[in-house]
Amino acid sequence: MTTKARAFLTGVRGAVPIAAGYVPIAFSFGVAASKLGLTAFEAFMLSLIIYAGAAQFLTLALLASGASLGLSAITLITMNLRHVLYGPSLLGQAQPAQKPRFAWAWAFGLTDEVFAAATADLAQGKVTFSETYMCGLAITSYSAWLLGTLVGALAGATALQFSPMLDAALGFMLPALFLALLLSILQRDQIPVIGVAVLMTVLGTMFASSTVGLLAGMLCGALFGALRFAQKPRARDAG
Amino acid sequence: MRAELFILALIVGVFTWVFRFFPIQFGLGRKAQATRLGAFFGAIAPSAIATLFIASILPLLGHDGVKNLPLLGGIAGVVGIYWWKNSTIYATVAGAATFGLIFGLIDFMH
Repeated sequence: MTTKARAFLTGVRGAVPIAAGYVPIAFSFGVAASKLGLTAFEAFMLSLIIYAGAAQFLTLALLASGASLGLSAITLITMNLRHVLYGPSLLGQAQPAQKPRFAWAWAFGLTDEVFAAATADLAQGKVTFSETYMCGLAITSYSAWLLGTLVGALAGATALQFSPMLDAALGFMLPALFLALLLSILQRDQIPVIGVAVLMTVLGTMFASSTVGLLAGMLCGALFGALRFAQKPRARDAG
Repeated sequence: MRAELFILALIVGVFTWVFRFFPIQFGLGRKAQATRLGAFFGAIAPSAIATLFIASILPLLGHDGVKNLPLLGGIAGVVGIYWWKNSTIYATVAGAATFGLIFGLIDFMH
Protein backbone atom coordinates (compact mmCIF):
# COMPACT_ATOMS: atom_id res chain seq x y z
CA MET A 1 0.00 0.00 0.00
CA THR A 2 1.34 3.44 -0.91
CA THR A 3 1.86 6.20 1.64
CA LYS A 4 -0.98 8.19 0.11
CA ALA A 5 -3.38 5.26 0.28
CA ARG A 6 -2.46 4.70 3.95
CA ALA A 7 -3.03 8.38 4.75
CA PHE A 8 -6.38 8.30 2.97
CA LEU A 9 -7.47 5.21 4.93
CA THR A 10 -6.33 6.84 8.18
CA GLY A 11 -8.63 9.74 7.30
CA VAL A 12 -11.49 7.34 6.56
CA ARG A 13 -10.97 5.60 9.92
CA GLY A 14 -10.80 8.96 11.69
CA ALA A 15 -14.15 9.90 10.17
CA VAL A 16 -16.02 6.84 11.50
CA PRO A 17 -17.09 8.54 14.77
CA ILE A 18 -18.12 11.61 12.78
CA ALA A 19 -20.16 9.46 10.40
CA ALA A 20 -21.82 7.72 13.39
CA GLY A 21 -23.03 11.12 14.56
CA TYR A 22 -23.74 12.55 11.11
CA VAL A 23 -26.09 9.85 9.87
CA PRO A 24 -28.75 10.35 12.60
CA ILE A 25 -28.41 14.13 12.56
CA ALA A 26 -28.70 14.26 8.76
CA PHE A 27 -31.57 11.77 8.98
CA SER A 28 -33.44 14.15 11.29
CA PHE A 29 -32.63 16.99 8.87
CA GLY A 30 -34.14 14.98 6.01
CA VAL A 31 -37.26 14.26 8.09
CA ALA A 32 -37.54 17.92 9.17
CA ALA A 33 -37.19 19.07 5.54
CA SER A 34 -39.88 16.62 4.54
CA LYS A 35 -42.16 17.93 7.32
CA LEU A 36 -41.72 21.41 5.88
CA GLY A 37 -42.87 20.22 2.45
CA LEU A 38 -39.48 19.94 0.72
CA THR A 39 -39.05 17.07 -1.70
CA ALA A 40 -36.36 14.45 -1.10
CA PHE A 41 -34.41 15.94 -4.01
CA GLU A 42 -34.55 19.45 -2.49
CA ALA A 43 -33.42 18.18 0.93
CA PHE A 44 -30.58 16.23 -0.69
CA MET A 45 -29.51 19.25 -2.74
CA LEU A 46 -29.35 21.43 0.39
CA SER A 47 -26.97 18.91 1.95
CA LEU A 48 -25.01 18.52 -1.29
CA ILE A 49 -24.52 22.27 -1.86
CA ILE A 50 -24.45 23.84 1.62
CA TYR A 51 -23.01 20.96 3.70
CA ALA A 52 -23.17 22.77 7.04
CA GLY A 53 -25.51 21.13 9.54
CA ALA A 54 -26.50 24.08 11.69
CA ALA A 55 -26.93 26.33 8.65
CA GLN A 56 -29.13 23.73 6.98
CA PHE A 57 -31.43 23.41 10.01
CA LEU A 58 -31.57 27.20 10.21
CA THR A 59 -32.45 27.27 6.50
CA LEU A 60 -35.53 25.23 7.36
CA ALA A 61 -36.40 27.55 10.24
CA LEU A 62 -36.01 30.61 8.00
CA LEU A 63 -38.12 29.02 5.27
CA ALA A 64 -40.81 28.21 7.84
CA SER A 65 -40.78 31.78 9.18
CA GLY A 66 -41.13 33.20 5.65
CA ALA A 67 -37.89 35.22 5.87
CA SER A 68 -36.77 36.90 2.65
CA LEU A 69 -34.01 35.46 0.47
CA GLY A 70 -31.66 38.34 1.36
CA LEU A 71 -32.15 38.08 5.12
CA SER A 72 -31.88 34.29 4.99
CA ALA A 73 -28.64 34.46 2.98
CA ILE A 74 -27.08 37.07 5.30
CA THR A 75 -28.08 35.11 8.42
CA LEU A 76 -26.70 31.83 7.07
CA ILE A 77 -23.50 33.39 5.73
CA THR A 78 -22.89 35.12 9.08
CA MET A 79 -23.40 31.81 10.83
CA ASN A 80 -20.70 30.13 8.74
CA LEU A 81 -18.17 32.96 9.06
CA ARG A 82 -16.45 31.07 11.89
CA HIS A 83 -15.11 28.60 9.31
CA VAL A 84 -12.47 31.10 8.15
CA LEU A 85 -10.26 30.17 11.09
CA TYR A 86 -10.31 26.41 10.62
CA GLY A 87 -8.01 26.03 7.61
CA PRO A 88 -5.17 28.27 8.82
CA SER A 89 -5.38 26.64 12.24
CA LEU A 90 -4.94 23.18 10.68
CA LEU A 91 -2.13 24.32 8.42
CA GLY A 92 -0.38 25.67 11.49
CA GLN A 93 0.17 22.03 12.48
CA ALA A 94 1.53 21.05 9.05
CA GLN A 95 5.19 21.06 8.06
CA PRO A 96 6.20 24.60 6.98
CA ALA A 97 7.31 23.24 3.60
CA GLN A 98 3.87 21.75 2.91
CA LYS A 99 1.97 23.88 0.44
CA PRO A 100 -1.65 22.85 -0.03
CA ARG A 101 -2.41 22.09 -3.66
CA PHE A 102 -5.84 20.56 -3.31
CA ALA A 103 -7.28 22.67 -0.50
CA TRP A 104 -10.01 23.82 -2.91
CA ALA A 105 -11.33 20.25 -2.74
CA TRP A 106 -10.89 19.12 0.89
CA ALA A 107 -11.68 22.54 2.34
CA PHE A 108 -15.26 22.09 1.13
CA GLY A 109 -15.59 19.34 3.74
CA LEU A 110 -13.96 21.29 6.56
CA THR A 111 -16.95 21.29 8.89
CA ASP A 112 -16.87 21.90 12.64
CA GLU A 113 -16.57 18.18 13.37
CA VAL A 114 -13.97 17.44 10.66
CA PHE A 115 -11.90 20.36 11.93
CA ALA A 116 -12.24 19.19 15.53
CA ALA A 117 -11.35 15.57 14.64
CA ALA A 118 -8.35 16.56 12.51
CA THR A 119 -7.11 18.98 15.16
CA ALA A 120 -7.39 16.31 17.86
CA ASP A 121 -5.66 13.64 15.70
CA LEU A 122 -2.82 16.01 14.82
CA ALA A 123 -2.44 17.31 18.37
CA GLN A 124 -2.29 13.76 19.76
CA GLY A 125 0.29 12.77 17.15
CA LYS A 126 -1.93 10.05 15.67
CA VAL A 127 -1.30 11.41 12.16
CA THR A 128 0.83 13.94 10.37
CA PHE A 129 -0.95 16.51 8.27
CA SER A 130 -1.43 15.57 4.64
CA GLU A 131 -3.99 16.52 2.05
CA THR A 132 -4.74 12.84 1.37
CA TYR A 133 -5.59 12.33 5.05
CA MET A 134 -7.86 15.39 4.93
CA CYS A 135 -9.55 14.02 1.80
CA GLY A 136 -10.25 10.68 3.52
CA LEU A 137 -11.70 12.47 6.53
CA ALA A 138 -13.76 14.93 4.49
CA ILE A 139 -15.13 12.53 1.85
CA THR A 140 -16.26 9.94 4.42
CA SER A 141 -17.99 12.53 6.58
CA TYR A 142 -19.63 14.17 3.55
CA SER A 143 -20.88 10.79 2.30
CA ALA A 144 -22.40 10.01 5.71
CA TRP A 145 -24.13 13.40 5.74
CA LEU A 146 -25.59 12.88 2.26
CA LEU A 147 -26.67 9.31 3.04
CA GLY A 148 -28.42 10.34 6.26
CA THR A 149 -30.20 13.22 4.51
CA LEU A 150 -31.39 11.04 1.66
CA VAL A 151 -32.69 8.26 3.93
CA GLY A 152 -34.43 10.78 6.21
CA ALA A 153 -36.00 12.67 3.32
CA LEU A 154 -37.15 9.47 1.61
CA ALA A 155 -38.53 8.14 4.91
CA GLY A 156 -40.67 11.27 5.00
CA ALA A 157 -42.37 13.44 7.58
CA THR A 158 -44.14 10.54 9.27
CA ALA A 159 -41.00 8.43 9.66
CA LEU A 160 -40.68 9.06 13.38
CA GLN A 161 -44.35 9.09 14.35
CA PHE A 162 -44.19 5.48 15.52
CA SER A 163 -41.69 6.43 18.22
CA PRO A 164 -42.14 9.77 20.01
CA MET A 165 -39.08 8.90 22.14
CA LEU A 166 -36.81 8.53 19.09
CA ASP A 167 -38.36 11.65 17.57
CA ALA A 168 -37.57 13.59 20.76
CA ALA A 169 -34.02 12.21 20.89
CA LEU A 170 -33.30 13.17 17.27
CA GLY A 171 -34.86 16.57 17.93
CA PHE A 172 -32.28 17.14 20.65
CA MET A 173 -29.34 16.07 18.45
CA LEU A 174 -28.59 19.59 17.32
CA PRO A 175 -28.67 21.33 20.72
CA ALA A 176 -26.54 18.44 22.03
CA LEU A 177 -24.07 18.87 19.16
CA PHE A 178 -23.79 22.62 19.76
CA LEU A 179 -23.20 22.11 23.48
CA ALA A 180 -20.56 19.43 22.80
CA LEU A 181 -18.83 21.69 20.27
CA LEU A 182 -18.91 24.56 22.74
CA LEU A 183 -17.28 22.35 25.37
CA SER A 184 -14.64 21.21 22.85
CA ILE A 185 -13.47 24.77 22.13
CA LEU A 186 -14.10 26.23 25.58
CA GLN A 187 -11.28 28.23 27.14
CA ARG A 188 -11.41 30.27 30.32
CA ASP A 189 -10.76 33.62 28.57
CA GLN A 190 -13.70 33.02 26.21
CA ILE A 191 -16.27 32.83 29.01
CA PRO A 192 -17.08 36.61 28.96
CA VAL A 193 -17.54 36.43 25.16
CA ILE A 194 -19.88 33.46 25.56
CA GLY A 195 -21.75 35.27 28.35
CA VAL A 196 -22.37 38.29 26.11
CA ALA A 197 -23.48 36.06 23.23
CA VAL A 198 -25.90 34.13 25.48
CA LEU A 199 -27.36 37.30 26.99
CA MET A 200 -27.85 39.00 23.62
CA THR A 201 -29.41 35.87 22.12
CA VAL A 202 -31.95 35.67 24.92
CA LEU A 203 -32.72 39.41 24.82
CA GLY A 204 -32.91 39.51 21.01
CA THR A 205 -35.23 36.50 20.93
CA MET A 206 -37.43 37.81 23.76
CA PHE A 207 -37.85 41.34 22.48
CA ALA A 208 -37.57 40.91 18.70
CA SER A 209 -37.35 37.51 16.98
CA SER A 210 -35.24 34.36 16.90
CA THR A 211 -33.38 35.63 13.82
CA VAL A 212 -32.52 38.91 15.57
CA GLY A 213 -31.49 36.88 18.62
CA LEU A 214 -29.12 34.78 16.50
CA LEU A 215 -27.49 37.76 14.80
CA ALA A 216 -27.32 39.79 18.03
CA GLY A 217 -25.70 36.93 19.92
CA MET A 218 -23.07 36.13 17.31
CA LEU A 219 -22.15 39.70 16.41
CA CYS A 220 -22.21 41.17 19.93
CA GLY A 221 -20.15 38.26 21.27
CA ALA A 222 -17.56 38.66 18.51
CA LEU A 223 -17.48 42.47 18.85
CA PHE A 224 -17.00 42.09 22.59
CA GLY A 225 -14.08 39.76 21.85
CA ALA A 226 -12.53 42.36 19.53
CA LEU A 227 -13.04 45.13 22.13
CA ARG A 228 -11.40 43.04 24.83
CA PHE A 229 -8.45 42.48 22.50
CA ALA A 230 -8.13 46.25 22.03
CA GLN A 231 -8.19 46.84 25.79
CA LYS A 232 -5.65 44.17 26.69
CA PRO A 233 -2.52 46.06 25.53
CA ARG A 234 -3.71 49.16 27.45
CA ALA A 235 -4.22 47.06 30.56
CA ARG A 236 -0.73 45.62 30.13
CA ASP A 237 0.72 49.11 29.59
CA ALA A 238 -1.07 50.36 32.73
CA GLY A 239 0.24 47.39 34.70
CA MET B 1 -36.32 22.31 -7.18
CA ARG B 2 -37.74 25.75 -6.41
CA ALA B 3 -35.58 28.50 -7.88
CA GLU B 4 -35.47 30.59 -4.69
CA LEU B 5 -34.36 27.61 -2.59
CA PHE B 6 -31.69 26.68 -5.14
CA ILE B 7 -30.36 30.27 -5.27
CA LEU B 8 -30.25 30.43 -1.44
CA ALA B 9 -28.42 27.09 -1.26
CA LEU B 10 -25.97 28.21 -3.94
CA ILE B 11 -25.20 31.56 -2.27
CA VAL B 12 -24.71 29.98 1.17
CA GLY B 13 -22.79 27.02 -0.28
CA VAL B 14 -20.39 29.24 -2.23
CA PHE B 15 -19.78 31.54 0.74
CA THR B 16 -19.25 28.58 3.06
CA TRP B 17 -16.69 27.12 0.64
CA VAL B 18 -15.00 30.54 0.34
CA PHE B 19 -14.81 30.80 4.15
CA ARG B 20 -13.27 27.34 4.37
CA PHE B 21 -10.87 27.57 1.41
CA PHE B 22 -9.66 31.16 0.95
CA PRO B 23 -7.97 31.55 4.35
CA ILE B 24 -5.94 28.42 3.55
CA GLN B 25 -5.05 29.68 0.10
CA PHE B 26 -3.99 33.14 1.27
CA GLY B 27 -3.00 32.45 4.87
CA LEU B 28 -5.43 35.14 6.05
CA GLY B 29 -5.91 33.62 9.47
CA ARG B 30 -2.20 33.74 10.29
CA LYS B 31 -1.89 37.34 9.12
CA ALA B 32 -4.97 38.48 11.08
CA GLN B 33 -4.15 36.60 14.28
CA ALA B 34 -2.53 39.53 16.08
CA THR B 35 -5.05 42.16 15.00
CA ARG B 36 -8.44 43.31 16.23
CA LEU B 37 -9.96 41.66 13.14
CA GLY B 38 -8.29 38.42 14.19
CA ALA B 39 -9.75 38.80 17.67
CA PHE B 40 -13.16 39.34 16.08
CA PHE B 41 -12.76 36.16 14.00
CA GLY B 42 -11.46 34.31 17.03
CA ALA B 43 -14.46 35.32 19.10
CA ILE B 44 -16.94 34.33 16.39
CA ALA B 45 -16.51 30.59 16.98
CA PRO B 46 -17.43 30.55 20.71
CA SER B 47 -20.08 33.25 20.39
CA ALA B 48 -21.69 31.60 17.33
CA ILE B 49 -21.77 28.15 18.88
CA ALA B 50 -23.07 29.49 22.22
CA THR B 51 -25.71 31.46 20.33
CA LEU B 52 -26.74 28.41 18.34
CA PHE B 53 -26.99 26.32 21.49
CA ILE B 54 -29.15 28.89 23.30
CA ALA B 55 -31.31 29.52 20.22
CA SER B 56 -31.89 25.78 19.84
CA ILE B 57 -32.89 25.17 23.49
CA LEU B 58 -35.11 28.24 23.95
CA PRO B 59 -38.07 26.61 22.15
CA LEU B 60 -37.68 23.54 24.39
CA LEU B 61 -38.02 25.50 27.63
CA GLY B 62 -41.39 25.28 29.33
CA HIS B 63 -43.05 26.79 32.41
CA ASP B 64 -43.83 23.29 33.70
CA GLY B 65 -40.80 22.04 35.65
CA VAL B 66 -41.35 18.40 34.66
CA LYS B 67 -41.29 19.28 30.97
CA ASN B 68 -37.82 20.75 31.45
CA LEU B 69 -36.45 17.48 32.83
CA PRO B 70 -35.54 16.01 29.39
CA LEU B 71 -33.65 19.21 28.60
CA LEU B 72 -31.79 19.19 31.90
CA GLY B 73 -31.03 15.48 31.50
CA GLY B 74 -29.86 16.00 27.91
CA ILE B 75 -27.52 18.81 28.95
CA ALA B 76 -26.20 16.72 31.84
CA GLY B 77 -25.68 13.80 29.43
CA VAL B 78 -23.63 15.92 27.03
CA VAL B 79 -21.51 17.51 29.77
CA GLY B 80 -20.98 14.22 31.61
CA ILE B 81 -19.95 12.19 28.58
CA TYR B 82 -17.82 14.99 27.18
CA TRP B 83 -16.01 15.26 30.52
CA TRP B 84 -15.54 11.48 30.61
CA LYS B 85 -14.72 10.68 26.96
CA ASN B 86 -13.62 14.06 25.61
CA SER B 87 -15.54 13.25 22.44
CA THR B 88 -17.97 15.55 20.65
CA ILE B 89 -19.75 12.69 18.92
CA TYR B 90 -20.23 10.46 21.98
CA ALA B 91 -21.38 13.46 24.01
CA THR B 92 -23.89 14.43 21.31
CA VAL B 93 -25.35 10.94 20.99
CA ALA B 94 -25.43 10.46 24.81
CA GLY B 95 -27.18 13.83 25.31
CA ALA B 96 -29.79 13.03 22.66
CA ALA B 97 -30.34 9.52 24.07
CA THR B 98 -30.77 10.87 27.62
CA PHE B 99 -33.20 13.50 26.36
CA GLY B 100 -35.21 10.85 24.49
CA LEU B 101 -35.23 8.42 27.42
CA ILE B 102 -36.44 10.99 29.96
CA PHE B 103 -38.99 12.28 27.45
CA GLY B 104 -40.22 8.69 26.94
CA LEU B 105 -40.40 8.04 30.70
CA ILE B 106 -42.44 11.18 31.36
CA ASP B 107 -44.69 10.35 28.40
CA PHE B 108 -45.17 6.80 29.75
CA MET B 109 -46.00 7.96 33.31
CA HIS B 110 -48.58 10.45 32.06
